[in-house]
Amino acid sequence: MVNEHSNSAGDGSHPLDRTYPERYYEILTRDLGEDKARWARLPYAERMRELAWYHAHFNTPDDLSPWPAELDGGVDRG
Amino acid sequence: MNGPIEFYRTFQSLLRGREIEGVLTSGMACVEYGLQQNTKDTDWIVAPDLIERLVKLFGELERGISGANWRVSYRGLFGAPLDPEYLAGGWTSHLAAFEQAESAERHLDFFGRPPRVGEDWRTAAIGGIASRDTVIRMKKTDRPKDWPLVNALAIQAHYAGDPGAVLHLRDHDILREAWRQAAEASRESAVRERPLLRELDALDDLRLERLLLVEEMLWQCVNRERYLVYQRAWKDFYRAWQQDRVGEWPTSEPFLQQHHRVCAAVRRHGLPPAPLDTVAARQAIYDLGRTRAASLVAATPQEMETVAMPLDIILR
Repeated sequence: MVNEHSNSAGDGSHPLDRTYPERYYEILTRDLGEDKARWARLPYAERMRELAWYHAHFNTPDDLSPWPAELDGGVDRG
Repeated sequence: MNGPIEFYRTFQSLLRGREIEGVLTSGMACVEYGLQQNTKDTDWIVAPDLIERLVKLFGELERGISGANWRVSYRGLFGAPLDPEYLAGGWTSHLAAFEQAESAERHLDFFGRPPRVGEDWRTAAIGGIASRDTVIRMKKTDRPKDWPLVNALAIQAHYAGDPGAVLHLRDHDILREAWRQAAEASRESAVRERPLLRELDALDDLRLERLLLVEEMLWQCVNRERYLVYQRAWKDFYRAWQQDRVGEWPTSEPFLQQHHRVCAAVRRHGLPPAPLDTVAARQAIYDLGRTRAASLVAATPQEMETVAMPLDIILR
């Protein structure tokens, strides 16, 4: 088991940069879609690069809602 | 220009530099755990007794004392002020920050006592990121989009060897696997927190899926009743406050002036610091949520009894 509380790998990689059994990615595909499952498989640095591009070009409903989620915000509250 | 990821790292190091105990949570924490969430908001849990340090930090950032020259403001719908009494009472504070004149507006949301987590958020945080257990509990909301994240984080926890995953898993085969692996000594406390586990071995897959659905609906409905208490109190306060001729809000005042203004206003207009601080108040919320959940999924009293978690778990 990886000790996530320190980078026990000692190779300079991000402590949360780990892979899971294939079953996990299948469930991500089922529940969150192909693209988020693909993103989850990327190395940490690459994930963050893609996300930075997304942040630069899009807003989510939560970003645009004047109401914080804790007070019923997010226009896509189901 | 820096993006939201660089921003939260900058803010994280500012917290560390001021010895303000706090962790990143919610959507951006999911990102750190490899679950793509595109929101730019950052949510933080900060120890309520250190919140004055945070207020001071924002004041200093605005005055450019340490080199940075931020603009910090409460947002229009700001929740409660950054006040230890309110944050310890389950309120959240909602701020906006600009690191410089041309930077994007950053949204920062602060919890002092996160829902369903209470004071346990300090446990097992990883490098300034809330633990999976904390993020999972916070994500047990009435927003259906949060539930796949609950399951995904629980699966991660299971594969990372965390026995606590059994409290949150929602895929029946992985839940059964985790339960088989659970140490005998830990089973009793797990059943207390998640009564459904008691029946796990006796249920076929279809019946288990049905009870997982009832259980999820109960979490959703109780969360809905919980935030409605805060929302109603906040709306009552806001209407009363507007009659003070506050004018345009948020004002362009420096943050510390805004802060003193809202701290005085919430007390003048009686915004309750801890609306759910009595067992009776929490029990009433729980009962409302339970009735609604049973109605929405046509759960029998026996089904509801099988999944109903204790009050101190669902409304911690």
